Amino acid sequence: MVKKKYVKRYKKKRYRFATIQYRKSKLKRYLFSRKKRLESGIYTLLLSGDKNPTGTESNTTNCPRYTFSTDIPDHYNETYICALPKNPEWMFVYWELGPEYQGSIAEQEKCGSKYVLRTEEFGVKVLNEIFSDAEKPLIVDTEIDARSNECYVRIPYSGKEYTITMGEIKADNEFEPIISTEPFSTAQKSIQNSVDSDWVLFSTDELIDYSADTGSMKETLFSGSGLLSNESGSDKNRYFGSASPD
Amino acid sequence: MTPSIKMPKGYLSLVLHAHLPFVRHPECDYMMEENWLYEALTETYLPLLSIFDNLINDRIPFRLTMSLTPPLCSMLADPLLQERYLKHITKLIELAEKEVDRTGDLPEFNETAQHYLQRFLLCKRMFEYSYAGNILKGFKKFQDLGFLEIITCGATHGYLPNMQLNPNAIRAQIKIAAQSYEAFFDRTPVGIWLPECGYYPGLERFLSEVDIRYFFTETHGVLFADPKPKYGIFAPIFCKGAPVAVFGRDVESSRQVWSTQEGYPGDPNYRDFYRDIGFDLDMDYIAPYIDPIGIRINTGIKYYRITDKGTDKKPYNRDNAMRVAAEHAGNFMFNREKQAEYLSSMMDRPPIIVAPYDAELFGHWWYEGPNWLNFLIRKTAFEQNTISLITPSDYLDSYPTNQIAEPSFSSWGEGGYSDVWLHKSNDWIYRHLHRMEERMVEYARKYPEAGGLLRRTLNQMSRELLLAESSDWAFIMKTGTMVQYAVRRTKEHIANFLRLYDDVKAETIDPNFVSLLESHNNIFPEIDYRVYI
Repeated sequence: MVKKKYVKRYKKKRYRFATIQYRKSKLKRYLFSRKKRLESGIYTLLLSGDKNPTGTESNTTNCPRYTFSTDIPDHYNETYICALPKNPEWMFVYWELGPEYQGSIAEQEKCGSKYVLRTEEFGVKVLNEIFSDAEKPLIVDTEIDARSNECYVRIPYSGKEYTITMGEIKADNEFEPIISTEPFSTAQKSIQNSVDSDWVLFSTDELIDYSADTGSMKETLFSGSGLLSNESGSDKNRYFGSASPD
Repeated sequence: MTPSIKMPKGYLSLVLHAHLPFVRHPECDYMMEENWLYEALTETYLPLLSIFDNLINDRIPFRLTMSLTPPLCSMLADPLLQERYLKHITKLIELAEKEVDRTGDLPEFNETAQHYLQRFLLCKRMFEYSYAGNILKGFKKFQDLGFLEIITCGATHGYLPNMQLNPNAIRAQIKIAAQSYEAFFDRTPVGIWLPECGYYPGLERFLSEVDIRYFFTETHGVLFADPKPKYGIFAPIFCKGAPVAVFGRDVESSRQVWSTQEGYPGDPNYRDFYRDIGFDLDMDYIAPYIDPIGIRINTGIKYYRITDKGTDKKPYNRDNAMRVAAEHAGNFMFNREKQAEYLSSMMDRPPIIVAPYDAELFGHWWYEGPNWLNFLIRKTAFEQNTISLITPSDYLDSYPTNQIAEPSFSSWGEGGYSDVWLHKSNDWIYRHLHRMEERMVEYARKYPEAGGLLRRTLNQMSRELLLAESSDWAFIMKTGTMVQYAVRRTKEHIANFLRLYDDVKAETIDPNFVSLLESHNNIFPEIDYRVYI
């Protein structure tokens, strides 16, 4: 009886030992293959404790089984420009000049050239091309550092269409364009004067007045700035409930 | 008792915008940001469904509009998140039971503890048994019964005015949203909540391509329309670019709920959001119910009322809070009646007052919000004849002829334009998003008939692009809370996309990487990258 029990225990022990050995060898094989994989530069997925190849730390709160890279380029080696209206008064412009321009910028600056973003009213420019006696297009230049790649530019008049051209103003004041945006429209900041005669009531102005409310909202709405900024904005108290309280 | 059926003087259109960004982390057992969904389920979505159920049981008619965004629907239908919510609510029940015990000798807190326990048990019961884990079934049921009009939103809540440069990117946001809606609700969407109410002239063309009939803008979107809107914001206008109607937000009704100064949610009797036992109780006691590494978080159990602006808070009394919610509902209804009476005297048709709110305001931030809504619907049905609840599509059916005008560029964010999503804290993302959009279109055109692994890769590129476009990341970067997470998510999606792009170019697609991304960022399983052609 005692012997039987001993044999049973022994077998159990052996089995446990074999299992541990098996797991150890499996882990060894696995670590070896992982080492190889990492050495070969293939970072398909990272495991807990692995150093992220991009050097970026994950902020996950408990041992992630893998993380994704957050390494993104600073530039794309392309030439492009883009303008996005922020509000009726400002727009955000970003750009990149490809490698073909990099050398010439330094050279031109030595020669006294400066770089600008030229804001040009679009519709008027077209009219001017068709009718030579049309009014001159509105042009506003904003000087920029050509090595930078973005800036906020003031919009001359809201509600109009513009193009932005990045270019060089040479020592003799001649403008040489480099790259332009597509035409884009900017936001209105006030109630329009135009009326559709089929769609008007005696009370239309009163209804519009009432739509903008009669209190402080009216002042902000009609002044065209700070719209709904303090009272009715939707961006108060949005979700993200687990954030620490203010 | 049956509600009155007299012709009303005006209509009230309540719109709840339910949205959460797509947050799903199979790589971690616990991720704090996933709690956004669990908290919204417990505090907003399930209580709303419960209220709708009770209204139907009491035979009270109502018409509400609710946008359920595609990322939210995807998360609500996701088995992993469903399973995790069940664990979450089970833990909350355990905590609430402990709280009932702990507060046994403190009657002013014990009642509230009992209330939470009952609330959590109800949530679990509804989630597990009534909807088998998928509460979309509940919302669908109320739509099919004719009480709810569910509308869609941008595919991943991308802020559309900042995508103007690339029409294909906008088309993809709209088309994929419409396809996703159809998959969840077995019909096509009649309306859309433009992400952040972001509109620019011309956007309507993309909406009409998927037969969307209406959308909403901030007040000045309609008010600054060209030509001048005949009825102000109290009737829709049709956009110049395509026959899509636009409804403007009513300032007065918005302010009564949203305002931090005058809004109902700031009443001293309502529950204080910021005093949570996750922060108040001893670490040893609360540790199993907060972030496993010991970061304190909101648990949802809060014992104090707003009281006043000071720190000396008084205990929350649920009965008092309910009494105040009923009063506020009555006040809101009274104001809308007066508003409708005044407006109808100036108009040759009944005005429509559009009152949109973030759904998560109701229940999550304003704990009594769903009850307020419940009281409002009941009072509107039984206590007056001046206004009636309506959905925008019902109004368009009754008044199909509307003025044509061009709405103004607008959003409902601070400032009324793009200031929130184009700010020094987040403007860096657009350079990348725009390059990604260009590259996506380039590949969609280059490989119109891709199959196998290439097709899967292109589909995953579409998902990564869409997820990077979500307006939530830019919003979080601007507001300054949880910024690290938003930056990380944005960069991850950009990096994933660019790696896939390079792999396709070099013809070295790594099937393991594609599979990993497919299982991780699994939104829109049926996506077809050719939407970008």
